[in-house]
Amino acid sequence: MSNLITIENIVYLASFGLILIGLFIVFSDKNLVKLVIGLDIAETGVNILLVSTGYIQGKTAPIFSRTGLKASQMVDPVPQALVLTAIVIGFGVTALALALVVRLYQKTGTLDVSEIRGLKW
Amino acid sequence: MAFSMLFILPVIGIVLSLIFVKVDFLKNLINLTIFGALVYFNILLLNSVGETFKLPFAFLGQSLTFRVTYLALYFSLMINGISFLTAIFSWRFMRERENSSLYYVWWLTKTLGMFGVIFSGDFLTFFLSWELMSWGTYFVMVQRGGAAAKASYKYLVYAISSAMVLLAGIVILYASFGTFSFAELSKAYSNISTGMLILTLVLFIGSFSVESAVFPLHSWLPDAYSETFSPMSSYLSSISTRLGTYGIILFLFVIAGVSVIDRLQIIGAINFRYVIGVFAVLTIIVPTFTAVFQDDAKKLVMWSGIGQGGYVLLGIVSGSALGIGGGMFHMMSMLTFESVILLSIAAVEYRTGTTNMNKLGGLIKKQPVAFIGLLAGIIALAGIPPMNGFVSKWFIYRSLILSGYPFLAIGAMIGTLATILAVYKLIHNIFLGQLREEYNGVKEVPFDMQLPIWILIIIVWGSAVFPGITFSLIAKIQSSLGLTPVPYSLNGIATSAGDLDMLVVSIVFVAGLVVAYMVYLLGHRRKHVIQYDNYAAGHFLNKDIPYNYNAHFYAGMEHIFEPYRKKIIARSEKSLAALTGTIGDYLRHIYTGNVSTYAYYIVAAFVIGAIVLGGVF
Amino acid sequence: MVNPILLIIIPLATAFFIPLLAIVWKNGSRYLALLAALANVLIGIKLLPYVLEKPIHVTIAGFKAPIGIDLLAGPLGIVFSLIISITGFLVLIYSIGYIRDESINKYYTLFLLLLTGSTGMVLTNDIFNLFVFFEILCISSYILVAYNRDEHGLEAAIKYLVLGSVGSLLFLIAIAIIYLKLGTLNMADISDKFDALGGSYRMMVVVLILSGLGVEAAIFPLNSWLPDAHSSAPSSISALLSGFVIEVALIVVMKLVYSVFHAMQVLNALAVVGVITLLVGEFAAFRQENIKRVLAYSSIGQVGLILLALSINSKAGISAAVLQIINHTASKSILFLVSGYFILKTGSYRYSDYSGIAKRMPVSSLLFVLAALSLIGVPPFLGFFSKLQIVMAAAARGSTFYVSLVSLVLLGTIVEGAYFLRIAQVLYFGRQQDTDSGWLETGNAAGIDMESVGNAPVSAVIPVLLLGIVVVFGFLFLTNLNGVTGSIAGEITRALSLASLF
Repeated sequence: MSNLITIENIVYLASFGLILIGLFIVFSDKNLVKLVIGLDIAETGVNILLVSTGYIQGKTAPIFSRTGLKASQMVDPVPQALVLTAIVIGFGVTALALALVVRLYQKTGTLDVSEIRGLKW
Repeated sequence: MAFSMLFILPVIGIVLSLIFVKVDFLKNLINLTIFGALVYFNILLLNSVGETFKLPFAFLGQSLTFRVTYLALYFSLMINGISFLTAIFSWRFMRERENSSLYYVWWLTKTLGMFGVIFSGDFLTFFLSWELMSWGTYFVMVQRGGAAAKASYKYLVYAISSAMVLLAGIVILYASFGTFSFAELSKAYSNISTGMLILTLVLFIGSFSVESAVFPLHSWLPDAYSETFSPMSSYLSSISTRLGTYGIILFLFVIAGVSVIDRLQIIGAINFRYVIGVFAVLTIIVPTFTAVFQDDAKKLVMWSGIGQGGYVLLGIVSGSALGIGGGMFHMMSMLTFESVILLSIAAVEYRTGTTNMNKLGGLIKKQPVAFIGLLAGIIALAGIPPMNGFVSKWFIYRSLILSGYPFLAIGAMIGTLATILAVYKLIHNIFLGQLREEYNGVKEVPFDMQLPIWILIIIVWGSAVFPGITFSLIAKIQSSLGLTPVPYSLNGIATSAGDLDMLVVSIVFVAGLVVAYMVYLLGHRRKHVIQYDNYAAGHFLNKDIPYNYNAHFYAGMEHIFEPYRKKIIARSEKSLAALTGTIGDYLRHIYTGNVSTYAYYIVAAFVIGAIVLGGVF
Repeated sequence: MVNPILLIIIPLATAFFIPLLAIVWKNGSRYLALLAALANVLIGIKLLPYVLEKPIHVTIAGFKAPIGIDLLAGPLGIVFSLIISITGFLVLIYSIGYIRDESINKYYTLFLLLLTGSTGMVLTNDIFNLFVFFEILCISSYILVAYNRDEHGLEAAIKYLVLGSVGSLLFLIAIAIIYLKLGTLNMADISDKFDALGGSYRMMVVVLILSGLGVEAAIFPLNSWLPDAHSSAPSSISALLSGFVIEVALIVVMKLVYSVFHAMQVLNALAVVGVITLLVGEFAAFRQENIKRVLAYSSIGQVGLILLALSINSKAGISAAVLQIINHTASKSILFLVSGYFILKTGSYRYSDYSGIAKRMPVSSLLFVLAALSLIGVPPFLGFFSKLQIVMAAAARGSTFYVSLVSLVLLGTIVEGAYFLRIAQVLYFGRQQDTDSGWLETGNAAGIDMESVGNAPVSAVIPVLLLGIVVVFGFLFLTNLNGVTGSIAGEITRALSLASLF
């Protein structure tokens, strides 16, 4: 039992929880802004998953700040680079989404996804 | 040389017609020359039977092959002969017609495709040419626009479906035997499995049935053929449909072989050929009865032409030397009599501007050549001596009875009854009866338009008196296909099963006419009257009283048949289109427009994918 | 030899230079973008002979694979960058006349970013880098879909964005799993190590990537954004989106499946999905009246066909699929570009309102019909040969499974022929009236004055004509094309390995 409750598993659980919560909002919420928020939450979950892949217990940040620190004492830096990129992309997408939502709201006066169905079939 | 000219000349014609698209005279001259040259090179080609040709480049690792066979030559002679005559007729007829600037381009495209179909030595070449031919047919018909566009669209849907079925058949054969070549496939068929045989038979015969307008896949034909320009109506009706029959002959006799197909015994003596025969008889009966009720001359001929195609098919599937010979001969008969009938109608249309029989009548003195052409044509169409339709039908009936298919023969004879009714309506409503006021000034068409009609009349009659000329080629075809050749002589046939001497028949017939004319001359009871000097039901009629009993010519008969004319085919076509539309509409409703639903689709697809693919990793 | 990385750098750098240039020369962006696309075309042509012999492997910033990010310019990479840049170049010519509003700089910047993203996707050999290029592609296309700033464009863009983001999420999870389990992002390295991974992990990765990238690749049922986005975007952008964006995503997915994940087990399922996609697309288009939606549904159908061909698991199938992609790119671009001017000139999206427009716009209408015929697969156009090759490749597998899939494809073709030729007849002969008399009613209900409809400008006709040459005369170069597509098929079916890179 105790070996199940490792820090990795907690992180995985948290990230998948966040992904599911985010997706659930995308499925169920009618408000476009909340939908974008849902996407953002799901993305945070993925980012946590991504950054956790490089984590090695008991190692330190991969920065050559202190003298005498060897590479073998550091965590994997690649996922951190990846997650930074992913965050930036996510930020861009969210900003764009909100901009589009604002524009659409100006045009249609509604944020309800079940009403924004000018294009179908 | 002669062979490659058959393909090079149409291409030259297409290019030149595109260049001189605005110069009518030059365009006509070039194309007439090309069609004439095609006839010449085709005759030259008679010396090179058995030669094979290959395109200089391979395609998909397959070379495109052609071969010259007697069967192909028979078809190409028919195609080129009728093209040349139609081209002569078209020169004046097509002058200053709207939407006809690419007339020759489409015609030559179609011709090219037809040559490819008949000379091809493998299914890849065949399919490519088949597509070219079908699209050529489509453009020939659609170019006139208006009602022709709608009718051609129907043809197109049929043709695409047929081509796809054909492609499926070809691909299945390729998948099983790894070859497209006719020669190799024919070897492979000798020990083919029954399931495969049935599958390919249904696919190929079904596909070719569309082009050859076999019941119930014939409904596209009458509108599509008759709405286009009249010379093309004549051309299409006389030869285009027969290319479908070529496909059937190719599959039955060249690829599969009769002995292989006859292994499929359905019940007792009923084999697969008999099934096709039943469809052929239905093709004779149903469209011919429909023809009786047509008001448009061209449509009437088209409907009865479908029926004539049924006779061809019936002869071919009978399997005996007589029957196949008769079926082949009937193709030639059809070619000439359909063409002479429709060109005569076109001559009438050229002067009067209409083919609606309710608006015509009494043109016999105004357009005597057209009348004689039509008369010769309908005598042949109805299978009455001394015209070539009689010879072919005699062969077909005889073979059916001898081969023990009396029911098919009776069915075919029922069709003849309706044919006679239909053609009588045709000649009566156009040429007999009261002349309409507005056509008083109508003249005979000029000589260049009469010429093809005269030539065709001579062929329709001459080929009946001397059927041996045609049968000499047909017998060679039969030998080359491994069938018993028909025992022919120059003027008929002499077998233990019965003789036919057309020379005697013709002499008797002519003698009968002479006797009748003498009686007429001796009678002293003739008086020349004008056409308006007429009476009906005891009343005198002059030209102020229009006496037009053309409309609803067979009103009584129509009344009897009305409850049986359910238009099942037309309705099922509509339902099929509606069904496709409905399926499409349902499928479109997957795209609901709601983005949450769409997101749900993605995750659902992921989950289903994981479940389905979980097992295979 | 030119460095293939220029294929990415040139449009990227130009994209960022355009706003600067706009300060001094407002309309300069048009020509600068054209120049960038032309440069890409030339580089692609220059590189093609080299890569056909041996793929070029480029390490960036001196870090060797598998540590550094690297590019692998094989036949697939270069041929697709050529497809992208040639289509991009021609659409840029078209845009000169078509895009005529104030903010053209944004248009061209995004346009070039779209080219960058898609070129990067086919060239990269690093899976996270692939994700980055994928996002560049996605974000630029989200904005371009909404470029007209009308209600429909915005709505379509938001839907596209939401669905695209869900797709990227799945993709990113797959990357996380790969890195977690294999500790590498280099595709060649992944390919070497992937088979050692446990079955459930392999399944997760493959399914995540398929459903993630599949959103952009328009695989059913992940393609629900497509009809909206492709029909609401400006026509020039629709031409790009339908022309190469979905195909690039599709070919990249299949490259991953074949040469990186060696997941041949999924191919049968994908073939079925392909045929479903095809049927849904073709049938859905049958009763659609909005011309751009018809074309969008037809794109779905074509994607299905391509997916089926790519899933045949034979070189012949993949080679035929690439040929079909080339044909689809050319034909569908023509269709969208031409319909762009139909819409512009008549102001209507309904094709039944274009009755008899062929007399007014003869060249455009002719090319529309030719492209439609090629998509249906009529000889001698390129589409016939690609479709025939697909059908033959499927039949050559010899199983009943593939033969039945092929017959469904042929059924789809009939439907496709029916709706495309209906449009063609409307263009030439007027609207068809389904009355019992069977006569056509020419003229149109919307009251559009056909007399005022003029020819499309030269800038629109030239690119369409050039694409038309590919479609009509492509068969003359069939042997060469098959040589190229065959080497792409070879590249896809060969498993990538780190050792082969050096």
